[in-house]
Amino acid sequence: MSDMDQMARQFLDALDHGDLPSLSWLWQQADDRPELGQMLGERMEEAAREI
Amino acid sequence: MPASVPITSAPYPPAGPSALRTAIERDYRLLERGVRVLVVRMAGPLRDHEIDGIVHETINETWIRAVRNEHRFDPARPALPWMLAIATNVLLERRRATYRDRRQVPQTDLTDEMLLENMLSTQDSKIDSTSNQHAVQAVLAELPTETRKLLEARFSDGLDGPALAARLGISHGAARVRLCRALQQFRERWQARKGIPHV
Repeated sequence: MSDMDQMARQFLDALDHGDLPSLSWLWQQADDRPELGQMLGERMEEAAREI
Repeated sequence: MPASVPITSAPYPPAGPSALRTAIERDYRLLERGVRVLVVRMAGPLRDHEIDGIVHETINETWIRAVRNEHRFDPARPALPWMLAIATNVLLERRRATYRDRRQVPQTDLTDEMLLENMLSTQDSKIDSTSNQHAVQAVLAELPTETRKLLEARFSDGLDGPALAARLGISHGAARVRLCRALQQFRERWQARKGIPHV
């Protein structure tokens, strides 16, 4: 599993469990890594479609 | 809120000192969608207007903090992850503040939901022990097993939103409905025990 895949999984787990500290950390990582920001944004968009 | 608006944002071209404000204005709706997801996933069963209120307060505070830290914004990078990091921290602080406030409210002034959470969710609830704690346990014992397990999953185990739905093996929406009904059952028995007229 790639680093990006791991972070995607971590992001979805954090979103599911209301783990705000982990989400904050992931968004901070994304600030330095545009491709991570893009990927997290896509995951967030999927979550937005579900609500 | 159209579902077709993507949350992802493209990098911005180099710009002048107002690059952040331009980025925020450009990404406002994307930020709003992202914050709404966070609020819905974190806050549990809330009415739509309550969700709207938290979303708008969070975005306003995010805007203020972003502008205050404008010197740290790199216009060569997308602004959305940076703003969502701020928004997430705003929500985290809000949750902590809510928890602190709840701990300071006299037990007699708590709503039934707050009372349940206060009695069941804290590790040191024995230190706060009052007759209410025994009363809560007594009311829970009167409830049907399924209802009691649902309330314990929500308030004792701290499960919320999708996690609660997964525990129950039902959809998020169905979990919210069951939780509302369980709270209603608790409320009726609680009010009867306390001699509070049913509203």
